[in-house]
Amino acid sequence: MKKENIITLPNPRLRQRSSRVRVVTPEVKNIIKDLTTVALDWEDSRPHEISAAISAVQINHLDRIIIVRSDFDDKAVRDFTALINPEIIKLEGEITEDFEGCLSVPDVYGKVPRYNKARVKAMDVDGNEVRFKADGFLARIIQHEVDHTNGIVFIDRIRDKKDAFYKLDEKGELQPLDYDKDIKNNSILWD
Amino acid sequence: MTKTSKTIVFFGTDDFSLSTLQKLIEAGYNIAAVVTKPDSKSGRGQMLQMSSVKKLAVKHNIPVWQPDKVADINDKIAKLGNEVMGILVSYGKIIPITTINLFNPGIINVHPSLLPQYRGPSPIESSIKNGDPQTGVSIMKLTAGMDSGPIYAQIIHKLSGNETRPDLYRTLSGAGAILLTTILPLIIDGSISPTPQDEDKSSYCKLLLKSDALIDPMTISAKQFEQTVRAYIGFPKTKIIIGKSELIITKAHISTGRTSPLDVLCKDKKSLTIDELVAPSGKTISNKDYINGYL
Repeated sequence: MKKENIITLPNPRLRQRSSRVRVVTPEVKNIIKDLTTVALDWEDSRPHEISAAISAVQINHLDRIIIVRSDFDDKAVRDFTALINPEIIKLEGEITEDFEGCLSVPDVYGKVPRYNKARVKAMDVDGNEVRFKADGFLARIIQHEVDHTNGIVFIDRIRDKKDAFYKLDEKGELQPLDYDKDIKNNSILWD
Repeated sequence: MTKTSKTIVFFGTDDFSLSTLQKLIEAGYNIAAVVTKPDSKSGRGQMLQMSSVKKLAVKHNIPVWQPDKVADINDKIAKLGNEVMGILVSYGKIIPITTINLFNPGIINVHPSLLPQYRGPSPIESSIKNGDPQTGVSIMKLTAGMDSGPIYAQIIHKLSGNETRPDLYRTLSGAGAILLTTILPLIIDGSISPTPQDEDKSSYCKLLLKSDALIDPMTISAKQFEQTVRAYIGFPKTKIIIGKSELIITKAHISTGRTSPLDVLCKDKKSLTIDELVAPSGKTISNKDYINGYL
């Protein structure tokens, strides 16, 4: 699978809820493998960005499966952890704003408010239940991906925030977008 | 989800910072910009001179920022995205807190002393001048106070009692570069956190000025005088007045009896024998040549 298999806005599936996975079948394992290949293939084409995580809906499978980069600060570390049926049990700490982007919303970055701590429950690839506490940027990533499984894209969280939208230019710098011109009535983003 | 990749903004101006920048480039870090002081006038004809840090950055196609006021680059830093880390090695300007706050996990600083000893601008000179048995390099997180941030790591360097200012700059600059690049991955992934400095043990060293060069031998011991000569080589230098001439001492040793006309009697009644000096002609010459030529 290649980066071209990633579905992007305005594909309506990105706004649909995914279904729970009952059993970890070979097909589920294949989706996890495909997610990893696709995330890395995308990253290899982007000089200033890291694929931190991806959800199954982004490669057109409406299943509650996500993968999260083991070290999302280091491009050299190329492995991911899969979480099946990820659920946020509790959001804690304080709300902080930081930049996030999405493989399904190319070039647009947003300053999104998120809780900085989250308690998470999921199933691992062997079908065992896992529970953990996520902190800081990891908490942000999990919230972003769990949103995907519920049909929410990050821009939906900042829809009315005029100064929250940015574009990543070719030098790797984030330039503010003109909300009224580029965002407000952009049919690609909202229809 | 995607994020912008970890980038580094490097602050540095003088040669002490060069080896750290070199090591960071070699290690493949994504350096978004090098911040250095504006080019200064120097040399014959007062030509504008690029710092060696700027030359290295230009060679590697890294953008160079030279703000008059550091806060002027705040907008540019904010545009670099998610996780921008600052690294500062002898930059030469105070960083305002508004700039520090733009970095995550902050600005990491390499300081050539065993903090909290010798906070301030002349730690290398101070350790030689005071005849310390050891000094070192500290890696710390920059805060609003002068060199008072919490410490990630330190390395000790034993002093032999013979090193000069240029020697120790070279040694500690290399040691600092290695220590920083060794622990940087751990700082980035958050697996080490810094320890606060013990305020009760803190000490400060001052900014050295040209006027610090002139020494009155009757105010210090011969040992202190000899240490000062080694500490101040290059800048601010060590000067004494003999007869009507102002001499710059570049090498000296403590002697028991008077062995040469160029012995200087110090406060503790011991003498300092000048081995090498810069004569009024501007040439560096030996004791013997000076005596033959000038006395």
